[in-house]
Amino acid sequence: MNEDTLVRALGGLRTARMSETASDRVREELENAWRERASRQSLRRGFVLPGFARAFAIAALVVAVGFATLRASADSPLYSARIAIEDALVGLQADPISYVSELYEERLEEAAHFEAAGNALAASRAREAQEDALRLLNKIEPQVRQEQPPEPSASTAITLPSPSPTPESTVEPSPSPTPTATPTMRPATPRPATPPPAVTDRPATPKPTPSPTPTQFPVHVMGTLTYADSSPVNDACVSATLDGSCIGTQANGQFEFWIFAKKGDTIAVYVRKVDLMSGRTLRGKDYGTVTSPTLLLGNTTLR
Amino acid sequence: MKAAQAGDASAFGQLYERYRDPVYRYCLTRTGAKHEAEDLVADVFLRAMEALDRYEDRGLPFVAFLFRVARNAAIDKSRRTRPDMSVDDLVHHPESGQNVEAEVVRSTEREALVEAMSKLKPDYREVLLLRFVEGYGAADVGRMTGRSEGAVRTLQHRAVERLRRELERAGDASLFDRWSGGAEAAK
Repeated sequence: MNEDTLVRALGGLRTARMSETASDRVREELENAWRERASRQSLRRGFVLPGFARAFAIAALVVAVGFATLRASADSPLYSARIAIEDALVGLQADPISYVSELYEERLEEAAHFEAAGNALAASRAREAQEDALRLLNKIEPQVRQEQPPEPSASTAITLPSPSPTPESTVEPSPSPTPTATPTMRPATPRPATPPPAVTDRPATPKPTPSPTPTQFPVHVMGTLTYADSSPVNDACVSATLDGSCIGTQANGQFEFWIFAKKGDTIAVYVRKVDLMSGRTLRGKDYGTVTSPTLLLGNTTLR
Repeated sequence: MKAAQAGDASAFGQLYERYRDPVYRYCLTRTGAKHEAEDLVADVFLRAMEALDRYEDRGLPFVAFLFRVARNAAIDKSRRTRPDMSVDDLVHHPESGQNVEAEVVRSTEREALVEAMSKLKPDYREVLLLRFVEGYGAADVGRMTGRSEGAVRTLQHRAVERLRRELERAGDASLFDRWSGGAEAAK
């Protein structure tokens, strides 16, 4: 038996045919399937939009979602997306400090708004976002501070709020449960006797737009104090001028106070404490430039 | 084909009438059982119908597309169920009383041939079917199966050799004596 024989025998299989009964059954099955397919297609065609309309609809949807996200308030499920987008945009800003400061102020105001409205959940989300902005600011700030001149000049003395019967147009930070925004210590300068207006009634926070005469705003100044041996200092006098009145007390090696200042002002902090054992007055000082509503100073050593 | 793609039911019906038997033979050699092959034919044409919108003419005959669909359908089917080779299904039953003796001979040959083929690898079975049952050239089979023409010829040679050995082992080689000394050989 050679290959040719086999090949010809295989050709004989060509006569195998599907039975007519089976063929009819398959044909019927196919006809049903075709009808189903046709009705499915016509249904689909009814919903099909023309190409340009689809592209337009998608673009409109993207814009709407983007717009809604960027305007999402703290009680919106899109809020975390908005915060993520805003934080991600920091790297693209020409002036990241002013951008983050704006974010900080917006979030601060938002948190106060929701606290006033009694929406604790939204307020806490806004606070978290605010802390997030603060962290970003702290990340950026040291780089800027390194570029500042080492000594404050006489002309850059701090600006204390002047006693005024009317409140400032700038927003006063509202008390909050988080330590960063809680003004536990106030400047010694008397404040207006009238209570600050409710946040909801306040005018919108003026944005720090580039202007030759920047407006003052409350600045939260914070720092730490240690002795030369690095142990924390307690009950020292913190003042904004050399041997000036104490505008803040401090405990556990930390100090903080609020002060009104403009962006770009250099705030000097003078600390003194009488050593009861030696009778000597230990002194220390630090300074920083105002770039945002929070000024974090480093550690000041009393000597 | 284009008319069927445009939604013409009768055009698809014509495709079915034209290609059902080659597809059936393909399915038969894959499944080895008549009823399974018939079910598979239905599956193949249903799949082809669903894939009609995506079908592109790449210069291959439409039947090549159907064979490819059949191949995938057969693989899916064999994954689901273990194929049960029933040689009885392949025996051709004479439709008339005329020339009954010749029909019996052909039926016996076919039974032996398909039984031997069932013992071959799927690739061998496929190349034997396409080349010698359906009569496609080596180049066409190569395009259908994604092989070079040379690879198809090598495969076909091995497949024939293996088939011959299977028939000899079964003692059925002498059944095909009437085919020897015939016409042309496979190209």
